[in-house]
This record gives sequence, structure tokens and C-alpha cells, in this order.
Amino acid sequence: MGNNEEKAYRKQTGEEGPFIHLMETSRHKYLYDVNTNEVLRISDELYEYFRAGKPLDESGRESLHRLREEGYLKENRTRIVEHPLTELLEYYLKYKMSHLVLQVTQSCNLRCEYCVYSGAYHNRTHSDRRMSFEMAKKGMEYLLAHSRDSGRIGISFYGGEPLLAFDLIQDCVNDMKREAEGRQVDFHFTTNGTLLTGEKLPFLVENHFSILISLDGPEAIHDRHRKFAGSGNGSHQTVIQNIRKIQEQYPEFYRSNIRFNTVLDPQNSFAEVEQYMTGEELFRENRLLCNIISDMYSKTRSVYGEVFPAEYEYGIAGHYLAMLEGCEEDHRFRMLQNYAGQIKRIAEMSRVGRQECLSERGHRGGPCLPGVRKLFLSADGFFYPCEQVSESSKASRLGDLESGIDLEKAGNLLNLERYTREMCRDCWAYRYCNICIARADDGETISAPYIQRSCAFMRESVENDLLDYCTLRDLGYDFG
Amino acid sequence: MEQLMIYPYHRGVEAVVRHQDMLTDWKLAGLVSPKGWGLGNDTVVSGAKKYIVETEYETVLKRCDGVWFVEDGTLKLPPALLERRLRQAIAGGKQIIYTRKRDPEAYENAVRMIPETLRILPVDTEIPDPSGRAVTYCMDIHTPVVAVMGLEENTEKLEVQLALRQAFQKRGYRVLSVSSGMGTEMLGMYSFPDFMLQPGIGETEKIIRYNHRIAALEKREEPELIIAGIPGGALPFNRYNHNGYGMLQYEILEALPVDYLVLCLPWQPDLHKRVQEIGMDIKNKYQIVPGAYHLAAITQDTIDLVSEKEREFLTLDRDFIRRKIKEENDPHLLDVTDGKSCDSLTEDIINCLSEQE
Repeated sequence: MGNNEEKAYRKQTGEEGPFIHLMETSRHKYLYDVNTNEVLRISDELYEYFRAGKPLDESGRESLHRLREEGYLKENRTRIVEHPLTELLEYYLKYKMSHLVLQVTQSCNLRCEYCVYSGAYHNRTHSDRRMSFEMAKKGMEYLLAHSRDSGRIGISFYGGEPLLAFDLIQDCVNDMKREAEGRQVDFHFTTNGTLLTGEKLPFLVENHFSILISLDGPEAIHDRHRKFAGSGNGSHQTVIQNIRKIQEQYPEFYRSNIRFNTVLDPQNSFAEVEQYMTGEELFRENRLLCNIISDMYSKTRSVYGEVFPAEYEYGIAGHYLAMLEGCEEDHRFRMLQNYAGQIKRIAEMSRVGRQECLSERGHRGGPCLPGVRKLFLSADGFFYPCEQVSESSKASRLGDLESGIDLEKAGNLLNLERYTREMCRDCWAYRYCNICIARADDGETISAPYIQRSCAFMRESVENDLLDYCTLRDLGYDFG
Repeated sequence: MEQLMIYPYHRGVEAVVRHQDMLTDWKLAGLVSPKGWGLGNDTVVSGAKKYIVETEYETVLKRCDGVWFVEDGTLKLPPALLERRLRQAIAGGKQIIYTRKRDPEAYENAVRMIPETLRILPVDTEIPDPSGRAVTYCMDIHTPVVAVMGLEENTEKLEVQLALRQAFQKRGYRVLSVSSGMGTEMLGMYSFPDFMLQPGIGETEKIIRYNHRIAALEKREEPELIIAGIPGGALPFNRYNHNGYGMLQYEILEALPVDYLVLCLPWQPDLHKRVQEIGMDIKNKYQIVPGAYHLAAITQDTIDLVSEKEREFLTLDRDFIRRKIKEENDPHLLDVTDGKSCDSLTEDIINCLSEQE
């Protein structure tokens, strides 16, 4: 950095003050120190000093001095935007890929309004496009050739409804069994469950498929969205019939390899869904997941009903209580287990130990290593970082089967902060930001205003997570 | 010379290929890796020779007299596949060198499967071992000792040991090599003794037995230099990945009067600072300062840095490593696969040992 740049930087940062964020619960007040990545419980007096500049008395000044002495309240910001893994990205892409998602078909036999293919989203619509076996084979070969440092590799079959291409799935699995000699390959798919019929089961069981079935709750709620194309009839009964058959014929496989995902429509009652999913004997031993209808690329915003927010919050509180009681995997609100994932990530980061300060060269949290943990191959042969991004935007496209992954493009997606440098550098949620390309791409290009749309929500989530983490920690939860 | 196939080939065996001229009684004729490992068609250079990694086991088997079944690297050979390959080699009447000793039970099973007429288990049973006798003290070792230790596993320790051995032999020195690995008799080295890894033997006994083993070898071979490889990783990485807290390293450094230590380490960001910190940690823990650092062409996979699972590494390439070494401009930091660097390391060792005399 030259002198002028240095001066400009000092001018910029000279009056910035400590890089901190203030938070409070009904019981305590906290200061999140961005540089050290620590959350400190502080006195009301100090809190008011930082919040409103209220003068400190003798003991307050002493506390402030102590904080500074202990290395808190630094002003440091990252000066040069570069993701720390940028220079290693080439090697990750060469040797460390681990999961390929094959979009075997874009067709679906259901028409759910909230589905990304329903027409309610900018990035996809249903079509009868289907992946050829040759294309899938090339994709799998690409994975094998670029994963020598990955102990396990996985292949997911994605749709539309992937079971509409069951013959292709069979061909792919059989091919991998021949070609992936010496490798452990895990197979996965997400399905609406309507085509999970008896004749397919021996194959799926034999190949240890991990299956995620979408089930939105009791019949009335499930059928409100998940309707058969053409007839418009609800699909709940069909799905339940199929599930019961698996449970009868392959109880062990059913218990260990089948999970359920519930898409929560916030217009519905959360309690009704939760009571059904955790109360029904049929799902008693299965892992349950849930997520709220996605707004990403959506043409409309989700509308929240009156009861949902309170019931959902109540569920989260219930889950935390279960965590404190040591029964987080087996309790009434277990479908919210994933919600606690982010808090555990905070706990993991805090386990690394206190940080000195933000690096001079660095990048905010958020972007994954594009194509490394997951690589999505669309039915028309293009690579994307994952199945969540827009297939209609070239900005998200990493490359194609013929020429492989474009390192420069991947580097660009990894360094998204370059698009929002000014607004990111002073954001207190810098370390925990989770905005990636899926929230950065307006359908045409990577767009700073589009990214900014997600900032407030992201910061609110991070603050909630940090406070939940502190509360659980203060109440004695052992994060390990 | 009989024709040898190495199976399953992976990057950890690259040192053997690069130094294939040190293979005793065998000529390297094929490298075979399972098809799914993604190494097929890789080129491994050894001097003027080039080897292409193949995936067709049966084809290569036909042109070989023996198969060396080596330990796995990052990827693990499924037991069923290993058994199939062993049976094919047995059916073909091939000699089988079996050095996969990491899993003792699997090792015993495999050894039982291989007919005695085909079996080559490179274990030197003639080395005196004070086990069972009331030996309570260490012997003096009179020969200078160069130890090669890794900060982590997979840091090319074998490469460094072989390169140094070759460099010293080229200069006319008689070298005794006790390697950090198993089955290295194939390369004219003594393997790391089994008892050092066995549970149920106390640390003191291990130190004394290791020392006596080296002393016995010293007496028998009258070397001018001992190169001792130390397996495993020297420092704990975190509470989950603790590298056995460096106990094995401590035992060996107690057993041997090490005159020069080469520390092998993976590349890591902020290299200059890290090397200094690591040097201090080694000094504090083992009372010896590394004389040189070999930078292996791998790095820590930092994606899962904080998780409890076993750490994973990422392969880099030599150009990257050499670029980083050049940027640092630190004479103690080098890549021994580069001939010039290996020569300067050898000279540095000679100078240091001469000064100590």
C-alpha cells in the first residue's frame, strides 16, 4: 500500500471508533467485538456509553480501560478484499470436489406454487428437458477426476422430480459402480414421494440411497400446495401410502436412510404442522427438517399469517429448552434441529480461540468455494455452484462439461465482496455474513443493490443467533 | 532384475517412484491405482524416466513378476477390492511384497492368504532387540544423526529421507537409514520398528529398545551418518487432532542424540511467521531447533478447520511451493525435490556436523 493510499485509509478509518455491535436481551447487555470475534457481557453504563455517548463514572472508565488493555475495541477493518482461499481455489477445484448434483430432469408430476420451477420464480420454470446418460456420465467422470483428495464423494439426483428419470438414475448408479472402483460413493435424491413405489425399492435399498421426502404436514396443509399436475388433486395420500410400504418392507432402511423435509408456508399454523410431523408414529424415528418458503429469486414475497411467527418462535424456544435438557434429537420440536446449526457454527468458531483482529487482507463470510463441496450440472450441461442458484444467469455459471470450470469465474464468485466493498467493510456481521451468489445474482448479473436486499435480514439473523448462543451459554449449555 | 508393480499407487508413494533406482532386486515396471481414485494417466517423473499411472490392474499384472501392496494414502482401498487383487496376484504366481501393516488384523489375514512361496515380508529379524532382557539404559551412539520429522502426517518425510540418503551416498558417505515407514527394506532402508507402535509397552522401554536397535545397527554397518525418520506429526493441531501429542517423536529424540533436524511441514498462509512459531514450539517441546524446513506440496484443508473430524489435506503442486519458497527468501526453507535445494541442505548438514566435531 502506497503512502497516499495509506493516508486515504487513515482518513477513512481515523474516526471510525471501535468495530463493535451492541445487543441486548431482557436479562443482559452484550457487546460483540468484531475484531476478536467475542461477545462480552457489559454493564448498562458501558452499554449506554457506546450507544448514546453517556459519560462514564470512575468505575466505568476503569472498565473501558480494561477492555482496551485486553485487546478489545480495535478499529481494524479488512483493507484488501481477497478471500483467503483464492490462491488455493485452483487446487480445490482440481483435487477436492466432493459432491455432484445431476439435474436429471426438469419435469415434475406436481405443481407446487412455491417450487422454484412453478413459474413463480425468476430463475426456473418446468420443462420436459432431461439429461442424457452420456452427459451424466461425463459429469460423473469429471467428479472422479477432480476429487482425489476427498475421502468420500456423493452424487445427488435432482429434478424437477428425479424419479421421473428413474431409468437414468439406475444407469448412473450402475456406471459409477463400474467406474468408481475403490471409491465410496453415496447416492442421494430429494423427491415429492409420489413415485417412490414398490418396484424401485430393491434398487434404492441395495445402493444405500439417502432420500429426502418433501412432506408439508397434515393432508389439508400439504395438499394446499402439493398438487398433481393436470388433475390438481392433492398428493398427500399417495405419498403416505408409498411411505408406509417402505416402512413395512424395509424398516431399517426406512429408519436410517429416509428423512423428511417440510416446506413451511408462513400463512399456515406452524403448531399444526409440527404436531403432525412429530406426533405421527410413521415419522417417529426419522430425521425431520424444515425450512420456510424461499424468497430467493421469487417474484413475490412470503406473506406471514397471524399465528405463524409466535408459534415458530415458541418452537425455537422449545428446541433450546430441549438442548439444555440434553435431548435435542428426540423431542417435540426436533424438526427445528437445523435452526440450531448456525448457533453451533458460532460455537465452533469461538472454539478456535480469540482472534487478534481482522486480517488486513480478507473477505466477509458467505461465499462457499464454488463447485468444491457441491457442483450442480444442469440438464443442458452447464456447471453451477449449487442447485439454489439461478440457471438463467450467466453470472452464476461456472463453466460447462466440455471446457470444465472456469477458474476466473469461480474466483469471482468466491470474492463477492468486491461488489459491495463499501457497504461490507463497516458491517459488524462481517464474519458471520451468509450472503452468497444465490442472493447476489439478480438473474442477469451480480448486483450490489440486489445483495443489499438481503443485508438487513442477514444482520437480524446473525444478531439473533449470537444472542441465542450467549443465552444458551449463560444457561450452561455445553457447546463442547 | 525382476519387474515390480506398485499397488495401490497414490501420491504418498511418489517418493518411492522418484527414487526407484534405490529399489533393491526390483525394477519398477508399473504403477496401478484403482480406477475411481482419479489418478489414471498421471505422470510421475524419476530422473530421466517417466511413469504413467495405470488403472488396468490385470493388464499390468501380466507384465510383472511381483506386486508391492503399499499402504493407502488419502483414499482407502476397500477390503473386498484388496482381496480380489491379492487373489489375482496369487493366481498369477506373482511374488507379493505386502507392507500394509497399519491395520494389524487385516495384515495378518492377508499374510495368511499369501502362499509362503510367493510371500515377501521385509522384516529384518536379525537385528538384536533387548526385549525381555533387563536392559535399563541407553547405549552411546557415536555416529552423527540426522532426524527427519513431520509437523503433520503426509508431509513427504520419506522423500526427504531418500533424497538425503542419495545425496550423502553420492558424496561417498556410508549411510544407515532407519525410515519413518514400514516396508522400506525394499529401498535399502530399515523400517520403523513395530514395537514402537505397539500398545502395552511403556515409553521408557520403547526409548531403550529403539536406542539399542540403532546401536546394534551402528555396530553392524559402521555408518558415517544415520538418517532416522520419525513417523506421525510432531505437534498437536487442535484438541481433536492432537497427533498423539508428539509422544512418539519425544521417545525417539530421547533415544537418539540428534545432531540435525529436518522438519517437514505443509504449506500454510503467513508462512514466515508460522515457520518461526513452529520452530519455537519444536524447540520448547523437544529442545532442538530445526536446521531446515522442507515444504511439502500439500496444505491443510481449512474448510473444516474447527470440526472434530479427521483433518483433510489438499494437494498442491511443486511450482506453487517453489514460488512460495522464493517469496520467503529464507535459506532454511526449501523443497528437497529440487536438486539444488537438496544439495544445499546436504552441504548445510555437513557444515553443521563438522562444526559440532
